Amino acid sequence: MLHRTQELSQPLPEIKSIPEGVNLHPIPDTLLELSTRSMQKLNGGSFNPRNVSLVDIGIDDGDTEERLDIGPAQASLGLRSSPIQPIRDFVQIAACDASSVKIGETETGMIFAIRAVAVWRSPDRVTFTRWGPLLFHIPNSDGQPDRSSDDDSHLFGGLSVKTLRVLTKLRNHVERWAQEVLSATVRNGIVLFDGSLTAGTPDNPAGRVNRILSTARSNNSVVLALSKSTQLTVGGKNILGFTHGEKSPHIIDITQIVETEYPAYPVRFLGRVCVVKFTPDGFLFRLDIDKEADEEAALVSLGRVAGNDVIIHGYPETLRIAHIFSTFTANEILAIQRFVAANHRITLQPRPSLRRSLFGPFGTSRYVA
Amino acid sequence: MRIYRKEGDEVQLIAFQDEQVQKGDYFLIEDPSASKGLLVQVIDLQYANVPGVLEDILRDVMTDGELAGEDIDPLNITSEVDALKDTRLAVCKVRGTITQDGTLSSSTSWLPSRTSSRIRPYQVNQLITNGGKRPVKIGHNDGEPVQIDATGLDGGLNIITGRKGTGKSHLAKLLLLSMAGWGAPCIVLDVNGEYVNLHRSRDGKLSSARLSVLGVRNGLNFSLGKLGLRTVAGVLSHALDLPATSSKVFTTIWRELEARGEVTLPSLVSSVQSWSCNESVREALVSRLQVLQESGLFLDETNPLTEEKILRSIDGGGVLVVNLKNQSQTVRRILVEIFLGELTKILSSNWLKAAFLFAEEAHLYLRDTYWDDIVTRMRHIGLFTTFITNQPDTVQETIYRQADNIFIFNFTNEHDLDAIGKVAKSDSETIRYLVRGIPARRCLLLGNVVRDLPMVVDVEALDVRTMGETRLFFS
Repeated sequence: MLHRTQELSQPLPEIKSIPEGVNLHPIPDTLLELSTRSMQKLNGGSFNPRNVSLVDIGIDDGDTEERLDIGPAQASLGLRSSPIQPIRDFVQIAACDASSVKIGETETGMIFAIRAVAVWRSPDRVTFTRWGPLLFHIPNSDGQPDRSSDDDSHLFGGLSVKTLRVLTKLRNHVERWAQEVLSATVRNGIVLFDGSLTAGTPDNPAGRVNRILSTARSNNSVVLALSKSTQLTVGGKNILGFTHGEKSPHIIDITQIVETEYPAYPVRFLGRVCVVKFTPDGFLFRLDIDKEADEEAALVSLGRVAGNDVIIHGYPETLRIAHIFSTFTANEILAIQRFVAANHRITLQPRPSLRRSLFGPFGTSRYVA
Repeated sequence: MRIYRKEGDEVQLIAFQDEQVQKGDYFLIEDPSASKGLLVQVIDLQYANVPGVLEDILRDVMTDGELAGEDIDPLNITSEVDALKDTRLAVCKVRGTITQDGTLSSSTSWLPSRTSSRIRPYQVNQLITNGGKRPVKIGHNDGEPVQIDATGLDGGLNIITGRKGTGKSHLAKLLLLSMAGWGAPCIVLDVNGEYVNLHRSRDGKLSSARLSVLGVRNGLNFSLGKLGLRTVAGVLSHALDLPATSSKVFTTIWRELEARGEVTLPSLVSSVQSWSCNESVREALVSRLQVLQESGLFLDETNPLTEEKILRSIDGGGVLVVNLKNQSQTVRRILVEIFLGELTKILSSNWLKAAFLFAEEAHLYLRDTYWDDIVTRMRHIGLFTTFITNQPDTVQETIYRQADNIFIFNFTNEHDLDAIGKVAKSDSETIRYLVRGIPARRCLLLGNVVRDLPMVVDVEALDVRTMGETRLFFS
């Protein structure tokens, strides 16, 4: 097994060398070329399209979850809660998200589609830009069929560890690129990211996140990253379970206890880690706020999100739309399979699932990529 | 196209965006390994149940309002998604098997390969009409002319039905003129007086059609003596509801007058008035005979319409129009009773081989017992009826079950569809799906004339003065 902080040392040279310097708005040529090159190798092979059904479509939107348990001792250090006052003054709110989905298996690897979306909210309308989908053929490291896909590797959604790593890296790259677009274009506003501001792995380099945050700051914007789920626990209790019985909108800053517990290297927290509740009836979310942002300004930004955006179940609608628009529908997966078959001279050869054949309805995996 | 599934006599085909499919179309699923093909007809078109399409549509709806944006889609996957959304499911009924020599067999006990079969459109016109001895051009299907063989209407019971204004009378006229053109004797019971100018084109020119029009005080004049006891007693009993006791007295009076050679309407009235019988019987008879007097059908009993005259007007291919327009329901019933009696006489005497009766809105003048008569007895003596109605529930169920040919125009009402769904010539699903929503002048043909291969036809235009159009105020 590879730890996610370890560098990949196996083949996949093209996909490993993802270009980091990209242009804004149009999809960078380098990314397009990478997609094209990876797909060109398919010509003439056979393709086992993934089954598309609503029950097991499983979309991977790339949320990363830091696993960290903070002991009760630290928890007793005291968690400070600050109220969020909704502010109605208009400020532009933008959000972005990216999703990837497995399209099917080839004789030598797997095909994935990745798409990113940015959404801008103005007082009278919401606009979006959707980039992609881009297709990538990720070869198995040894160039052989992934024979383990029906057994152990189901823990990773039917993907080998290396394939999963490459996919994560690609998706992160596309998502970071979309974040770069927003941080460079939104001025005096609030930029919402899906996920956290944790970086420092080979798949998710801290330098790039730092640059994104710095660009946003230079444009007088504040970056807020919201995670729908997290593995951060304090005293064995997930931080999203912290309510303290408080119903009004508030934020709890847990940066200090998180940083105390977590090693400083290689993973770095580039934001202040908080738990936020935007509305009295909403859920709690993990919120990372750009660490360099002024604390007071950050709190004002949260008030502006609460006052300007529509908050549904405690989650900003702008980010929700970005998420909805980036995820792939079953129909889109079918369309991409059709596109791949038509444009890459690939023969569709559905392979019967050994697991399904053996176990019938009891053979579904818990995780499907 | 691809085969999706088969269940019972239903096959579902997947049709992609660029494939032309319409309700009513025939397709041949050819299995090269079996050297034959399964003939199927599309009865309904649905959207393919692509997983997640609801989610796609909801997303589209979101972008219709306050949410606007752009897709930077270098691979143009959106067009593929749109193509998938537009993928259709063609629900088809199996109609038979086309064998290697191109003939139609009713066998459907085999299944074509789902993977290697080729699906192509199939023109059933060649199976149905071409090569018929007496072709009648009835219209066109998908641009191809459709001819039926007039012999398919011979010896049968036919129904033309559809909503008001969809073209029933138009088709009836087309059939009528075509049948007469092939020498068939035809009689029309014309409720609205819309057949009286069938021999004239729209610009007023006379056509070659032999048309005789009879109406009250316009040729429809009868003599009781000529009609005979059976017909007159039938009129009194069935058209005028004379009770059985009174009918017996009437028969006695009739026989006495007949013996004296004095059977006329005035002598009958006078005899009844002086006859020794119960006063209520007398009153019943007098009142009915007065109705006959007032009907205008017995004004001159010395010069009546005879079987010979009727025969002359239709024998060898003529159309006799019995104009019932502006007549009371009672007079209509009297007339129809007399006419059917006369026709029965003519046919029973073998003066005529057969006759074709076109009955518009028959429920307005046909007594209940005649429905069964038409289906059974009259068919055997050679009276072949075509019912034309926009109220399908007024035609008895037995008529639908026995019908040999049915021409159905548009219906949308469930009650109407239920009524016509009882026809034995097709399954109710075919009728329900194909008939609902078809435009005016397009009809579904079922029965012998199409060799039991249901066919949707755009009915041919007809250059005759129809006079059947609804009178409008604003035009």
